[in-house]
Amino acid sequence: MGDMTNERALPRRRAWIPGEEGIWAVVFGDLIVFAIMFGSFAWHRAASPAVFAADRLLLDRTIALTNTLVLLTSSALVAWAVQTRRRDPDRRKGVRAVFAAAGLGLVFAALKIFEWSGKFAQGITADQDDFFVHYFMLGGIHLLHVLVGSGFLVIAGIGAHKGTGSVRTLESAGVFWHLVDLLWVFLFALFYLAG
Amino acid sequence: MNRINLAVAVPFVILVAATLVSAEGLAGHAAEMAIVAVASFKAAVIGSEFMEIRHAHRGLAAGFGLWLVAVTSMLGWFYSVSQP
Repeated sequence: MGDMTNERALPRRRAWIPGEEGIWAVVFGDLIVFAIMFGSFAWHRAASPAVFAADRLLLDRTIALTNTLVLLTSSALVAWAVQTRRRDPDRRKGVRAVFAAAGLGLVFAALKIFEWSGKFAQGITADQDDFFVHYFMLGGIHLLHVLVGSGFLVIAGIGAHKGTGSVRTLESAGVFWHLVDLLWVFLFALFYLAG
Repeated sequence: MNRINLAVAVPFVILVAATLVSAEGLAGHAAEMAIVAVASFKAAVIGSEFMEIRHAHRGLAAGFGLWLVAVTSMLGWFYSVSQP
């Protein structure tokens, strides 16, 4: 069976960086920006707890839970695809999983747009109070990441299919996609669950 | 199922389970803190297993860990001091 290091074909432990180094600059930049926005949300929530509690009840938790499971599944597909690409000469298995993950990203986007259309139909606007300012702002920036990430996965998948793309490119697309999933984990908790 | 598949399947099952448990959305300070803690745990699993940070350069792991601790502490503090 071999140990994990050999199967992954990695350099010595603790000296390796998944994907291209530049993608981690993007990842950490995004993590810092979103951390600031999480802090802004939490600060405004502490200032207006009743407004935030009431507005949270207007959100559709079922759609959000579905979207959470969609992103978790897509992340698992990407993680599996990257590991498969590293060790399996049959590139097609990993490529199909990458395209499936990108497709799930579009499912997330469709559900998010459906959710927002419902809010607008209820007369809710993006600037009506601090809760919905944060809801649409963070949700919109995250949705942009989902669309960019889906495109990145498609590009990496096409490269893998043609045999022109490197494993590191696929790893980079995967790292960005897992960031998208990771950020949604917090958004789901803050907007739909806590408080 | 070989070890490589388990490396993806096990974290995925853990993440889904944590999602379903936390989705109960209970009220009160303790429940809110638990929800933040579960979110941080899920983020740690995604970073460690899917992003493969635990196999990566120590600096990467340290940076991610620092971010996670900072965000968890910040959110935990805000939710602990705010009214339910």
